[in-house]
Amino acid sequence: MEHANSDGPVKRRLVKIGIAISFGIVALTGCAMEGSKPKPDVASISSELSAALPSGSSPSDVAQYLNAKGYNAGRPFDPETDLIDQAKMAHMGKNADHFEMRAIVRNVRRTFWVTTDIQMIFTFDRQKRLLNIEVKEGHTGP
Amino acid sequence: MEIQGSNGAQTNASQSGAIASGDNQAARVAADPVATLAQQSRTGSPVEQGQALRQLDQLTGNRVTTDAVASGKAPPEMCTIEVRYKPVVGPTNHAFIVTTDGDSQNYFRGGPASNANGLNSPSASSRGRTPDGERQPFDAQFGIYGPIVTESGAYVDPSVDWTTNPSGQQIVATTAGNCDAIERQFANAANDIEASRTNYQPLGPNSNSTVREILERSGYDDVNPVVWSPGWNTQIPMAR
Repeated sequence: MEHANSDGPVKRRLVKIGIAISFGIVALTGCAMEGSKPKPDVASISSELSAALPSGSSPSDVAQYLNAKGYNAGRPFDPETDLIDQAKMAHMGKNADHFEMRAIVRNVRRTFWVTTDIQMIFTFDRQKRLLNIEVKEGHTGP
Repeated sequence: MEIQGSNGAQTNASQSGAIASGDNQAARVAADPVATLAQQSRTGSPVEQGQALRQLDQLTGNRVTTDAVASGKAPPEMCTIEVRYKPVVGPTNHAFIVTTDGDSQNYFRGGPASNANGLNSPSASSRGRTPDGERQPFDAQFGIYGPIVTESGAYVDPSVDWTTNPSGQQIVATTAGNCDAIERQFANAANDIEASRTNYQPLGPNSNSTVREILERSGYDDVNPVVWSPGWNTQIPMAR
């Protein structure tokens, strides 16, 4: 009888430890699954864009594609207002023969100090035909 | 928020008290300093009108513009130079410059060329650039962050530093006319910084050192950040 009484608290403690370990495993598994989600990278976005938007595409084509892919930062791209005339920034060294449209995927990677975004830069000529797509990482730290 | 006024082309933090004497006034001045002061110069008490005119002189840089503004005529184009901040880690912040005039808003910023942590090698897209725009191969001497790279362009929604909720914001100067001349200076300074191939380090030289250096090389040499911006005063070794 005494033996049984002393076993009670021990068993309860073991059950509690077991439950805690189970929660821990579930949490760790969740983190691992989250971490294994494929993050967009420069290479995959580049190849997607190249396939979908050939040279000569219009700003409307680009805006439509970006909206369909959800690269819109919470608002739809507009082929007029999102098209930036680089001639207005020629004094800053920009190419006056170009228009530009930009999109961004934020926070694709983070180290302790620095956050990484992927920037998509679509360059158009003066007739607003797509000339080039540049996909690159941009990094923000202190 | 700290407001810094202008003495013609530039001013510094020590002069800001003459421009904004209280929090509420500071907020109004920050929103539209010229319009607010113009209204005070017309509707305030005689003492307030005098103060407003003196402050308008400082902001516009000349009496002709002040008179035009104070008399209610269409205000001339003004260029506002700001430093804005985004939080990074804990209380630390990333600074960048925003210039605003009648028809445009542009940004100037610096940052690391890469963001490797040992598990991910620097990608081809995150390397430094040669002066002719070609990507340079990753150079181990620069460590995991690479050299400082700079960027400028239209400050619009998809730009890298875009935020509607900055952790800090300060007006460095407000000058008459558009921002073209000062933007040209800022762009040249940013190009020089990138060309210096300075090793980015989180506590400096970094993006905050870059902003301070751009401002300093353009004549705004007494700007102090309004939020904690590590590396602000770290010098970037480069030919001047």
